[in-house]
Amino acid sequence: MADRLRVCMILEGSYPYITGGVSAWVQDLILGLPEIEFSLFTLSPKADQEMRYRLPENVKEHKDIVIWKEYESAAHPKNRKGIFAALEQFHNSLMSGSDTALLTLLEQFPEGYYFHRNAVENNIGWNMLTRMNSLKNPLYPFSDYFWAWKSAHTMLFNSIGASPPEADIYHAVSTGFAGIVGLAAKARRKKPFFLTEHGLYHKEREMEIRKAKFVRGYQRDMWIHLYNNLSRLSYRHADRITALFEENRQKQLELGAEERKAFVVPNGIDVDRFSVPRTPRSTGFHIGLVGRVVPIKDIKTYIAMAKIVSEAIPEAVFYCIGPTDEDPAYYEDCKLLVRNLKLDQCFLFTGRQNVLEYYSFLDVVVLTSIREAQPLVILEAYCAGIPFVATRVGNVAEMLDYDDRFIAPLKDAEKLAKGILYIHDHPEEITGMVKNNQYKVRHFYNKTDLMIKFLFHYQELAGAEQTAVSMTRRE
Amino acid sequence: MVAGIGFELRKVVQEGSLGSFIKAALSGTMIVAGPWIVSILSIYLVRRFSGFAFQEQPQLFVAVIVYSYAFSLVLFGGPHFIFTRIIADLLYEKKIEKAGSLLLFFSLCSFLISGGIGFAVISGISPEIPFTGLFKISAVLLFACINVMWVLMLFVSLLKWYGKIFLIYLGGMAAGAAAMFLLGKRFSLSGAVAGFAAGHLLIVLLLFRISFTAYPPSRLLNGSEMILPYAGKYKFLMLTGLFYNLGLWVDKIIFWESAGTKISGTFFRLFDPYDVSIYFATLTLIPGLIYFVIVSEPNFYIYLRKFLLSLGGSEIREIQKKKYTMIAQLKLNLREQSLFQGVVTLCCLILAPAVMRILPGSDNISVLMLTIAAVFFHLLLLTLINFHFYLEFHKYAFLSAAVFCAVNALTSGTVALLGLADIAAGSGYLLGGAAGSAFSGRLLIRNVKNVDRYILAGIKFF
Repeated sequence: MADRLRVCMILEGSYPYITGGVSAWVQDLILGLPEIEFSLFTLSPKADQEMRYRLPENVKEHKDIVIWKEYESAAHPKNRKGIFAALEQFHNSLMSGSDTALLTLLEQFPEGYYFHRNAVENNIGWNMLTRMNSLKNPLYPFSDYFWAWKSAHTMLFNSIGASPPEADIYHAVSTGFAGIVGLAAKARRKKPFFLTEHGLYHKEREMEIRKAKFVRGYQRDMWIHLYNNLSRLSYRHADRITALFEENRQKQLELGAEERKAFVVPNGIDVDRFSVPRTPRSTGFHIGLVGRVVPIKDIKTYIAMAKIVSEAIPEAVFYCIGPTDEDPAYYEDCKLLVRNLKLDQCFLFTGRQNVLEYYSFLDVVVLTSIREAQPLVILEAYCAGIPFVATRVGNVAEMLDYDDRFIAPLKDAEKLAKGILYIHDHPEEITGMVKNNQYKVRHFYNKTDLMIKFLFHYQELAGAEQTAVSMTRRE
Repeated sequence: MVAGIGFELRKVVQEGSLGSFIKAALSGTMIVAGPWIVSILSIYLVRRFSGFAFQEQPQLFVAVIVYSYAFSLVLFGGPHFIFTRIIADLLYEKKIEKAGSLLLFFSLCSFLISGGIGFAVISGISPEIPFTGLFKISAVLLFACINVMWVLMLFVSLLKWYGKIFLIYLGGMAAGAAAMFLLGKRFSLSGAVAGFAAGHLLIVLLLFRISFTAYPPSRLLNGSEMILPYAGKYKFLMLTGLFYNLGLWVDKIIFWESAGTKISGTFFRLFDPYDVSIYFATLTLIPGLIYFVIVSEPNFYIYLRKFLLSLGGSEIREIQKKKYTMIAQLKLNLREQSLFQGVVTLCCLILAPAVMRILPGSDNISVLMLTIAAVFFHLLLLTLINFHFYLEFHKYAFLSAAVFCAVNALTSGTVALLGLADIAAGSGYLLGGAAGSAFSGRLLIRNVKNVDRYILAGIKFF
């Protein structure tokens, strides 16, 4: 082990190229642990993306691969014939729900060996593919299945063949292909594999697949199966797993995570920073949503809610505080909706701002997302002494103490409006609630505690006698 | 290569009358072999009647023509395939100006390079004839014009102007023959060569005219920027052209050198017993070629197209069905075409003794019969190579051509060494064609079964 502990963060479609909760968490973790030497291994949809974060000084190396790209192999297996047998066994084991064949497969594939081309060019691989298609997808165009199969396997083989930077611990921030990279590093380099999940990767992918109109027939099942299996493999073989909240931890256990290896480490914020002094405005009732203007935040439901509230509270002012440049078409749609609902005078898109300024005077913070894990914005608002109304996603219900007055189903603008009106009409009751929330955040969601917990996990993993020297085969 | 015109000719045949059949047959003959027949006839007429124009060394005159045609194909056959590919792609993409510009560039390069080669070769000979300077200049001009003519004919063929090609060729050769006789009387052999070269020059100029009228070049572009990448990408296509043409001529070259009559003052040699047999025998290819153009190629194209379309949107069972139907049709086409050509070959073999009596310079019935039989396999090989091209199995087309060339060379070399050229010339052509066809057929049938995998997996054979 080097003088400084080296941790390789394995990231798929997030930091440092995409802004958001996960990326902010990673940045905070790296900055909060200056004694750790970090490296990044990122799996990206395209090359040369713009970095949205300035890498801290303790990030010493960054390797990026394009997950779709067909890389040329730099290494070759010793036993080429064994590869196909191992691959077939792996496929069969995935179907049956076991995963012992993964270990054999990873042993057959050296780092730098990318099998994707051989997988379809070779007769054995082709026969496997056509057999599966005949079994599962006979009534749909074969070419659709072929390209779906090829895409999935290209990503899989890129992950299996990847060469992440040398490190003492491989820390993936999702299951999926990032998890496979971590597993491969554990199998080949005999180093611990640490998995942290914010949401549930396979559930999020499943939602996307079900919405995608171009995914037809068995392809849908194939993709869902694949993602579920990737998550299952990561859960079963990770040396340590953390989830943001207990509900997600339970789901990890259901898919095979060992109880003794799975922990809850909630998000944390800089409580001192977000303990802003209140300077409420003398006029108006100020309602804010802190988030990017993108479909997943469902700004349109927020706008619809604003219409309902503005009719009951004429002096209400609504703020959408966050970058507007990530999805220009959606932003234009939202602006048009504001105009059509005649909210021009009371609804503002502020763009990227210093949220502390807004937290000093906002009366309510709202979250209308259709997908979240453990939103940091709730913690920030609570810390700043602001009540919250949100949609029931991820861990929101638990964070809002399962209080149905302030929790709404997805896209239910009316219920959200009711929550806001309740807050407006019951100021004394809300003051008490706010104090309780501030206490909760300062004592249970402090970022300093978060850093200590992760440092503890890292040190325990690095110092463990048996990390990944041998991966025991499960019965 | 001419699938488009094949469909047109089929429509004529399908009218059902004897007249429509004859019309299609004559049109097909003109399309596939018009210039070739005219060339063969011209050479035959020259050999037969050159005495009317000049007396000295008629064999030198024939040698210049034969060597020009032979080495133009051997040396430039490969690049011609690349040129055809580029032009076909440009026309498909409707880049008309580029097509015309590339034609100009390629023709100029062909002219200059072949002129340079011709000059180097002709400088090394000292024929004992009057007006040697005129002879040498005309020989080099003839060689360069033949090379440019191939390029132009490839271009105009892609445009499917077969009638115009035939008429230009006929007119050019007629003018050349007339010039040959007139200048031959004045300047003897040298004048005859000059006249013949002038006829070819006329053909080249007329072909340029019609080409540039339809596809005017915008400028002289640096074609190497296009040609070199294509040559790299389609190297097997180029090698097929090289080895196929080398395979066609290697036995002739071997027999020229080993058993031929030397033409004094030069290194040229001719071996009449074989050369004359070849001229006649290759004409027996025409019926089979017409069958290929009208029946085999369009049939295969139809089923290939159905299969390719199924890859884009059908379920697996339908794709397999279309693939195996295509394969069955391929085998049927090969069988029926072979049967057809087999009947033609058999008839020619039976008639061979009678034909031999009228062929000048040939008295070896065995050589003639071997050559006629060889043509059967030549057609089969040509067909198989074409089908390989359709499926983009360029590598296998090259291997087929290489086997043909190698077996022909080995066999002909052995025959020459044993001194059996007078009776067994043509056996190399026969065995080479048979071996090449067998090898090619086996490769084709084996690989066409995996064509769906090759296409979807992006496995390239070029």
